[in-house]
Amino acid sequence: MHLSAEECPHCGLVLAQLDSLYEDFDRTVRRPHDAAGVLRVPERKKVAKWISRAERAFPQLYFSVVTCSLQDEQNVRSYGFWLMNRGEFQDIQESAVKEGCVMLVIDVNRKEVCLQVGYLLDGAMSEEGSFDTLSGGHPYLLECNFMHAIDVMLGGVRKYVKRLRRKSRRLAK
Amino acid sequence: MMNSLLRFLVGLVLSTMSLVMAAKLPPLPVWNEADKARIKEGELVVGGGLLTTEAPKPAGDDTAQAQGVEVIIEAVEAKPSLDEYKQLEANSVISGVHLERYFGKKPEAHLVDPQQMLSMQERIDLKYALDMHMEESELPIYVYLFDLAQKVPDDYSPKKVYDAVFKENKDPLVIVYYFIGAPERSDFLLAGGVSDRVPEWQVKELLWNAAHKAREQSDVFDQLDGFVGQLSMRLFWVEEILREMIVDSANPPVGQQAPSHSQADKLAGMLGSAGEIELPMLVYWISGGVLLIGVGGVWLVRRKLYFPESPSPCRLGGQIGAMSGGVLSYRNRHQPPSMQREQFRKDFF
Repeated sequence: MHLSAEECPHCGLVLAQLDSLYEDFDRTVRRPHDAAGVLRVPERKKVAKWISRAERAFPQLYFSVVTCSLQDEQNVRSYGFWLMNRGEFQDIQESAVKEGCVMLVIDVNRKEVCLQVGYLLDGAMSEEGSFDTLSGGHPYLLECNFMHAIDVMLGGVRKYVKRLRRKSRRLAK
Repeated sequence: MMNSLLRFLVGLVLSTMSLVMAAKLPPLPVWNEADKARIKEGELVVGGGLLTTEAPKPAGDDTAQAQGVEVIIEAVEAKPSLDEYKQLEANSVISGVHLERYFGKKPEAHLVDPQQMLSMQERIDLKYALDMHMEESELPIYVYLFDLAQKVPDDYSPKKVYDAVFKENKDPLVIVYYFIGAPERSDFLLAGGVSDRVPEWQVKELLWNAAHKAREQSDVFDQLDGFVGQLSMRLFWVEEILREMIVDSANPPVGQQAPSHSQADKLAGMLGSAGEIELPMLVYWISGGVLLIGVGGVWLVRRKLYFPESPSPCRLGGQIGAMSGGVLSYRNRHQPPSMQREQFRKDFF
């Protein structure tokens, strides 16, 4: 996609069209946002602790892990795109910038996972790189061991964000 | 023909040589007429002065005897007897004149052997070894040699000999009583200077090592040589200790200069002395390395990473972001991530 495209070159999609598609979804984004209800309370606390540590290391960013259960006409990428732009993130640190979102979206119904990032990071991001970051959790996802899968994928995400930072710094020079 | 010619030539050469030699010899003595007359008359016998026991009398003797002068025979000093270096019995106690020869005065050489138990060559070798030690060391060794089973009276122990003979010498020295053939009987004294602060166990270990080294040899002189060699090597470390003690005594710690009685001063002194404990440099290096690694680790963990402020322009109407990574599907167990990776960019939304 062209970096300054106003709409999708394939289907002419814009954000406004997704509002009706996901109007039944909660716009309040907790961290973690377990809409599918696959995480136990201790597991949520563990993920929250990881998010807190990651945000201390990256003061400009805010992280979230989202689990959802989408229908057939819905898509994990479009839902992530819609939630990132329309969602109301809670308890974001003051140093974080609006474009510094990093969100791991897991669709437990259609069985898909993807990583969504804000404009602060996407200059250096590639689809292949983010895909490789998540592929470590694939064996655990097959067994529906979501906590273990999230744990592995978040470890990859942290390293990937560091790589994006280095790449962004090189690109900015 | 040839033989006659050869004989003629040899005869010619010999006659020529005899003539030449005769020309160089001094002239033979010649009897004068008066002596010839006395020989003929029998008053003079040729060679009579050599063959008779009567010595020719000087002309003045007859007059001295005639005057009756009394001849005084004075006692002369006895010639040195060979018994001076006579060895004592093998199992005797050192006594008599030998005590004086061993311990009467400060020995001039580092090897004290009045009984002459070593051969000349062995004595030279041992003296050379002791001299070599003295060239490299400031701690002289005085080796007193005794026989295998000889005993030294208690009044002549190394300590008492040091007090009697070496006391004027303020520098440290080593006195060794070595019993030839029995190195384990050796007696050892390190005295003088700050040597009394050397730990006793270290001195005993030194002596034990030297005796053990000597026991490795079968010949008695080789034993003595090994003993002295090992002693010389081990004394190097004793010298190091002595040097450190001299330096310490020359520079006393600040906390010990002025003894104080108040609790606060005592505490300050303890803290000061604890801070002055000398640790090996290796400990400092390791501590520094560990500290550096620790600080580096904490910095790595707690450092804050910032992205450059150059966000991308807005797309698809999104204000925060519009970038989505590759979708990983786990619906099909037989479609691993490596197969899914090939399908990128095929179905966006």
